[in-house]
Amino acid sequence: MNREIKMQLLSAAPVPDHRKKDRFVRAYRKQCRGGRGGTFDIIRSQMGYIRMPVWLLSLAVLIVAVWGLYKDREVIAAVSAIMPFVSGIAVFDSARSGRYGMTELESVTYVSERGVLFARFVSIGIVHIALLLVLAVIAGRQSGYGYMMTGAMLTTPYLISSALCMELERTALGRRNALSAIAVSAAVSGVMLLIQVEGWQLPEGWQWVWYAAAAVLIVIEYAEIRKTFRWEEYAWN
Amino acid sequence: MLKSIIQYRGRYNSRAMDIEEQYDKIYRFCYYRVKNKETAEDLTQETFLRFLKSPYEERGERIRYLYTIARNLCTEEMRRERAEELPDDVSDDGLEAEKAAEKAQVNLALGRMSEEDRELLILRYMNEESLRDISRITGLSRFALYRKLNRVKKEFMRLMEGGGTHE
Repeated sequence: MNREIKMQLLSAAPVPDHRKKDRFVRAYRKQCRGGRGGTFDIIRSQMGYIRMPVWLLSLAVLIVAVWGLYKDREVIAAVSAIMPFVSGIAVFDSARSGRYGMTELESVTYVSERGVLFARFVSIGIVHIALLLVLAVIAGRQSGYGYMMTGAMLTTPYLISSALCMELERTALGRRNALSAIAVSAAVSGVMLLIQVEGWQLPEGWQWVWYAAAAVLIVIEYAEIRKTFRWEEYAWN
Repeated sequence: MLKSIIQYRGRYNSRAMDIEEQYDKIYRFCYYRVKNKETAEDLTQETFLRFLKSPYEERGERIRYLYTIARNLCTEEMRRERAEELPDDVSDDGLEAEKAAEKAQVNLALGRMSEEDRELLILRYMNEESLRDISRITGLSRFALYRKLNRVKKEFMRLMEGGGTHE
């Protein structure tokens, strides 16, 4: 009987305009987020949830560079060998939502999964850009290559490892196997060590190759980041 | 990571998460007070906006707060005498004849009831609010509310059986 009364009452009331309702609900939800500067707050919140190994490894490479400066020794070989691991673990940590099945939870919050990924990339990226700049100065003092060249020599392995790891994260092997990012980083690190230890130096006048490589890798990195975002968007859709 | 999501979601929850559930309820509540669809939509949205600006702290009385705001807004609106005497959807809007007749009958029956009785009927039998919440919204004790709801239900059924008119 109560159900019958309910149905009678419901049928007698006109349905609210769906478009008007939808517009209002969206605007209302935006207002509910408050006025605390959404993007900055999201980045700051995600920075707190980047795991300690990422920051520790970044700190470790900085310590190595500072030690070299203190001991007046060239450390570019060691620093450039560690850089692939720094980028590898950064990519690995940024993509852990998918690995641990958090994507669905994140995607139903008001911050989209894409927003979370963006925040993590930005928070790690800001720190690592600062790190590379500092390393270029510190290691550059002892390397004999100058600050710009040192920066290019450190950025190149970082970007190679980062691009490869991002590409790997989009494969089933990369998502299933956490060690695959480490393997990629180790491979790039090994190459850098060989270049330095075996003395595979570029001939005089060919140093510009480092600059060109860094520039090309920056473009590739940008493309990889875009692909990663598009990948998350396709996965959600 | 989860904690950050929940922290943002917690604040979002208290004001925004219920809107999908409550929008239609508040709209119907307003509609049966002012008997005008557009006005009811405006009042519904105004209700939520005022709720958002209110200093309400989450203590499990959200719905009561919403209905209280809606009630006050409807009362103000009716004082402005903008409501039409008959529902604006008197026409069948393409409904089947039988449904259109039932609709008209319901509206007629509701029109014959007092505003207080109509409100109780809407809150309890259409929006299915709890006795506790209705008691807090209307200020009636649970015992008095229970008796009134029984009477209102019988009255509505009698009016419907009688074609919407008193016998």
